[in-house]
Amino acid sequence: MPQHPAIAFTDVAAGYDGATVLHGLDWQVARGAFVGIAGPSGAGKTTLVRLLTGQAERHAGRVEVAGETLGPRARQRIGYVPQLGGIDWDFPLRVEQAVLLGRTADSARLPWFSRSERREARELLERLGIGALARRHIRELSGGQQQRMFLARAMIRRCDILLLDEPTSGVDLATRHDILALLAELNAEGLTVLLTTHDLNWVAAQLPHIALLNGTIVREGAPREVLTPDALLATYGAHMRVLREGDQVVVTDEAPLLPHADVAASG
Amino acid sequence: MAELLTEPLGYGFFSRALLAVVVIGAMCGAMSTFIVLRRMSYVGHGLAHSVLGGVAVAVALGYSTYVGALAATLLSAVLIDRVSRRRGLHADAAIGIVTTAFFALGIAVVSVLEAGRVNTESLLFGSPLAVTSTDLWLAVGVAAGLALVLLTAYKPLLFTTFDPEVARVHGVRAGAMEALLNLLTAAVVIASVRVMGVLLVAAAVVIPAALARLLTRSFATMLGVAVAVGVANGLGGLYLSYYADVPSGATIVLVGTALFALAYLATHLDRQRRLRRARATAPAAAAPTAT
Ligand SMILES: Nc1ncnc2c1ncn2[C@@H]1O[C@H](COP(=O)(O)OP(=O)(O)OP(=O)(O)O)[C@@H](O)[C@H]1O
Ligand SMILES: [Mg+2]
Repeated sequence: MPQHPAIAFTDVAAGYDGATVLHGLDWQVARGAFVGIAGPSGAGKTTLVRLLTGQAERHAGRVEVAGETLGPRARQRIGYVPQLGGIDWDFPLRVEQAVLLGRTADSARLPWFSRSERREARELLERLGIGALARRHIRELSGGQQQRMFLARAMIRRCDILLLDEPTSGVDLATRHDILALLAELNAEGLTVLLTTHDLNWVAAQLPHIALLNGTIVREGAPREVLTPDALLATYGAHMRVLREGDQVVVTDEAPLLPHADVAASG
Repeated sequence: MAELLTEPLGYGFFSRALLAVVVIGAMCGAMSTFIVLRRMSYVGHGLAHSVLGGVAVAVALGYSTYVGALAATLLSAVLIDRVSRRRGLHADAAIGIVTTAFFALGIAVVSVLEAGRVNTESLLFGSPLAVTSTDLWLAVGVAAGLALVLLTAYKPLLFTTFDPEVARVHGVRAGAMEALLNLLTAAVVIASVRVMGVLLVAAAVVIPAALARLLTRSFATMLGVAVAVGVANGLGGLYLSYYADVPSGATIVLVGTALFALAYLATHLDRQRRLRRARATAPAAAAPTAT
């Protein structure tokens, strides 16, 4: 059996209400890859994720997941961790229940989850380091912990592809580090991980593989090769400076964003 | 004291009404949980109002009032959907236009009909006297349907109510679940309108869940508490209606509001108490020095 890529886009156009956001998308995500997508606001990062989850319209081309045309069956392989906004955090739900809901479609029609399902949820929470919070209300978690809760909800589906939309936005340095380390660990166990981010230095540059997106894939590869002034100019339409030190890459503004304080004071 | 409770049971109509308010209270309570959490309180309100138009037209044309109620709720649901799809108009505006129009139509038809063909007061405010055995069986049927759906689709309904987008991705037929909830809402409203009245049934599908939400942070408990509150409102309201000779819809809503106010006050005091305790035991910060 040939090894199909985890996700393959062939000449895809996609968007909403007939308006095209993504176009000419020819891109593959290898099985077991750990890939980040970066690009300016409105570039279509979320749209690309939502295309895979079935929330955006496909206007042209082919999308395949593990060699199978994208549809409800192929989608069973996908675990989805949405952005944290848009959730009613006051909803009467405990962490453990929120995780178990991820299993709904494969669970018995009874109103409760089985003992083994509950054990699995506990084990997942344990693994993600929030086992002690299982009985808490979902509002009583920090942003990073909520992110992990939804990660557990995606994983309890036994997915082999994880999609995360800006999993590190709005969390502190240490949590961002923890989340990336956790994803790397899951990836090392064979999970394909695809995430979007605005953070070039602390997220994109740390991943083994990134893609720059602006309506279509502008450049992809290892961060060292992709994060260059001309690729960033082509993607963001802005001049940026790229500093290198050994394996590390740092992207900064070319010109100071604001006038210097002393200039402002003297003017 | 016990006589106050047993005396009215001697009347056939009262025992029938008693059964009806228990069944209706329970199903309104259960339904309210989903309605409140989906922020659809206004929909119940709107559907109930359009029932008046349907009932009035049905009476004028000589059809069963239930046929009129059903047709009016279905038609207004479709119209609300159409109107709210227009850019710039949201569901609240659509409900405001469509269902008030049905209500106005109802008022117009009722006032043209010769006096006595429609008992406007009982239609608007509910009346336990008017409960026929058909009404009772209809309520039992809808309640049984609701219970069956809750038993067999509890998890997908909960997932859809909490997070429809992710539910869909996770293989739940969220669209079908939402349609099912809307259908059940309409059925519950229609089956409750005789006892609750067109103007007051909206409160019956909001108050129990609003109260339950104050007291609990688990969905299953909220559902259970809401059902219990619905039944308590119905029973309390029915006796009050009997002794005070006030329409049952009004007394049921008043009992519900009183219970809600009590729960609100209790949880408020509890929070104050915990805040005081936390302040008393918190490590003392450097006291601000008065100058
Ligand atoms: N539900 C929607 N309906 C219609 N248009 C949409 C919808 N969601 C996004 N768009 C449009 O699609 C384009 C791409 O949006 P998308 O959310 O994919 O960008 P993004 O790269 O994720 O941006 P950000 O970094 O700000 O999250 C935008 O122009 C946006 O206005
Ligand atoms: Mg986005």
